[in-house]
Amino acid sequence: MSDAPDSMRDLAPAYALGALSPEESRAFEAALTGSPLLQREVAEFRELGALLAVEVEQSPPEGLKARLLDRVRAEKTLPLSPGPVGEAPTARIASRRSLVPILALGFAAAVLLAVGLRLQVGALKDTLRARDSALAEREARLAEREATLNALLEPGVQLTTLTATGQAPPVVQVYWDRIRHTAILHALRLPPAPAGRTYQLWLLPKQGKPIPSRLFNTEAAGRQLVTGIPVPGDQNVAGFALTVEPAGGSPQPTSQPIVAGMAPGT
Amino acid sequence: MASLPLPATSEPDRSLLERIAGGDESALSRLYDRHAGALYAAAYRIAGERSDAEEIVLDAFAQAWREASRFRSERGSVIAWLTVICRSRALDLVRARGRRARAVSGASLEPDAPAAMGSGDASQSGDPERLERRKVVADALAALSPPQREAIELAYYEGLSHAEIAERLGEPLGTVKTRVRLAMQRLRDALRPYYFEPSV
Repeated sequence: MSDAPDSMRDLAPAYALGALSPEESRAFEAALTGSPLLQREVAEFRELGALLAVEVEQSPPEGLKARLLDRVRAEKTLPLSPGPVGEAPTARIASRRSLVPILALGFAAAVLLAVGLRLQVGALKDTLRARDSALAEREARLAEREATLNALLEPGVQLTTLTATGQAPPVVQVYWDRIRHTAILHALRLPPAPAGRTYQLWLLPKQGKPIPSRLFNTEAAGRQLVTGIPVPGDQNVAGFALTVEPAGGSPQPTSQPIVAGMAPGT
Repeated sequence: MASLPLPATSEPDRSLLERIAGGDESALSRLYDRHAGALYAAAYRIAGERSDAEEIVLDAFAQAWREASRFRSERGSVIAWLTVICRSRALDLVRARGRRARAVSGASLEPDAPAAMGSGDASQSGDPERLERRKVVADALAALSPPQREAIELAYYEGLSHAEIAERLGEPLGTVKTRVRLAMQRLRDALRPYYFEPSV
């Protein structure tokens, strides 16, 4: 029972619900692959997910099952029968002796045609599904970007730019919405963290130790937008800092901040 | 341990799925009869539109029809697989339409829309086995504290992440994480004997 650390086991319920952040999901999935224990935990919480839906159970609309059966029938391979092929016009001009090879040829051609059509229909359906899915993903991204933009434009949002302390010139900006206790981080020209490491944001209180915040990495181009960062109103947060930490993050910084900055008016 | 085994005459879901893999429509029909109600209700509660919920359920069962031979029972039950498919399709749809905020209160749902978690009326189903299962689920949800129930509801029906729940409720992230974990563990402990596939 000790093939996965407790920290990973604790994430299993939220993973089964889909409530982890992308960073946590990636870390959990990496651990999941080699852990029968975690696989069992996730399976069990998924059973729970199936059971929860029972509570709101209601009758599906009349006719929905008929639509399902119609749909799966339409997806079945076209039925093939040599009967109609035998009535092909070629039969009239062929002698009885040559009819068999012609019928066989006709049948083979019909099979090829049917199989070809089936493959074509299947491929078209796959293409359509892929396009639908890509479209839905783009729409979701757009909606997310729009929500981010709206969040930036909220009154009370302050911008803190964290300036570089080393030779690299990354730009890290934190848009802090003090009213809603949330922030958005925008990183530019920040090279991806080395393998096995991650960037970690820290909330800097007026007094006391840095408070661990979100983990993230940048894309190859050095960009990243991290949204929905909680900034608790009761922690006297005055600024932000960014460090490179081992994958999975740290409770306290283990390296010097790459960038740091204090929010205006704090 | 399992106090709610399927009646001896009931064919297990995985056996139905084997027959579905062989192109047996009657097996698909039975699987539909058994689970469409819960899947439809969950899809409807997430998507908020009847027509969307219908399409989601159709897609999920059509996917089961196509991919039945690839189903691996060691990874979970058939209904858990179908529920994951329906939830992710419904949540993708809602995200794509940017309607996530809409379902908060449920006020805009149609009059016969499913109620919030923990307030389900278990008296509507006629099948005694399903009736008991619904009742224990309703009781287990009702036994959670209201904040725990709210967190589970936001995650399950709105697809919110920990951070998004924390933001929505204006509470610290750590508190929300703990709350979701404890609530799920409590539900699991209470409901494990009633799983559709108790061997998992």
